[in-house]
Amino acid sequence: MITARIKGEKVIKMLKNSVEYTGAFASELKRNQDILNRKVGEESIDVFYLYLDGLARSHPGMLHHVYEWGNVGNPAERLFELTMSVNKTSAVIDAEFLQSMVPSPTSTEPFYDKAQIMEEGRTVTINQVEADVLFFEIDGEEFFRSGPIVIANPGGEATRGSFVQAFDEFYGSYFTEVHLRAIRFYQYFANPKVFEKYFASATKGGASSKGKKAALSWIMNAPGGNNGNL
Amino acid sequence: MVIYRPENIINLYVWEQFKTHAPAFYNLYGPTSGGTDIVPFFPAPANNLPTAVLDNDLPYIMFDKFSRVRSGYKYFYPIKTDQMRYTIVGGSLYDINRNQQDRYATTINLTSLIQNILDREDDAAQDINEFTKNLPDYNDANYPELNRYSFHCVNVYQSGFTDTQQDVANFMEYNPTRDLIVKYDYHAKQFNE
Repeated sequence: MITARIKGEKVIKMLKNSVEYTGAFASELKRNQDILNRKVGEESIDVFYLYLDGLARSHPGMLHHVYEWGNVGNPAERLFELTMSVNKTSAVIDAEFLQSMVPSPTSTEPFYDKAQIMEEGRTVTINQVEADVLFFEIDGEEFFRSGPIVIANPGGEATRGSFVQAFDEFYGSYFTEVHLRAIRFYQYFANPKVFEKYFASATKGGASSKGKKAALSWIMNAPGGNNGNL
Repeated sequence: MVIYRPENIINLYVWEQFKTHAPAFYNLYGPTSGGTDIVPFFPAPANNLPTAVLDNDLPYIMFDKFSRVRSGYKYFYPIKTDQMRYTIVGGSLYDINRNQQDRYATTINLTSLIQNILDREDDAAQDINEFTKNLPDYNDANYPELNRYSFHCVNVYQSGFTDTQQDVANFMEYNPTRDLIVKYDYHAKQFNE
């Protein structure tokens, strides 16, 4: 008699390992969401600085107030800073304005809260403090005045709300629609290459640890951070 | 000898297309006798625009390369992805008819045309590569190899950031703008090749 013996036990074990591998992979991804959030958040901050410097060079009239005088678009002379806080579900990016440290070419004192005041389009009133009169020049002509001078828009009308507009545009569309596509972030996560890489060996044993390793590797090697920018 | 950067090549390619598709604009910048022809693509900030542009209120395009990344896992490392911002400044096409409507129309039409010319992925890249075959100096035997480029893909995205504030005190000073972001993948010969 000719006999064939089928050992289902081995196949069942492989299937169990597959399920265990997949489960470990999924739970490790979830457990490390904050790493991914941090990575994307840090990437967005790095890119925002470049983006805004470029935008300011192209639109100096609108964004000169968030740089030191005469240095629009200069990375070393920014008057804004982005900070990030991260939790399991999200990364939150906040922008703050910095104090101007450099007097304007026609002044001896820095403009206190320059970026904030010009961004909000706030009116500024100048009073004499120690002298009897104020002295100023317009187009080379000298003026003396006793009493306050009111400047309706110290940064010009165009600066009002323009940093907020740029910030909204960046996070509202550019970062997700242009930059993450450019570094092929979505394509990376749409491709299960890393999952497949460890799958075959995981079915033979060590499924849980290999699942965790694959998930972590997938997140750590995602484009962005030090894996993309030059 | 002219040494080209990728953004210069794209600018020249777009300008060449304007000859056919926007002759009213192209012909404003006629040949310069005894000097280099003006190609109205200027690096930002446009602090030193030719007086011919300012005096005649001509439309022009400002460009600023602001980002360079590796193109990620899809391509091999020599392939880079750069991005530049185009700011299209309307100006006037008609010297005797400088008005707001003309400037708006010019800005919007030029923006739309640039998008049509460049937002064609590998087709646009192939056309630019073809275009480089006729660039002055570029194909000379002693032109530096590291500054020869092969384009792979070009995309264009609209940016909503515009000079929306209007100088009502001086209407003629106001130039409406539109921004585009041009993304281009390319490679050049590597140092170790």
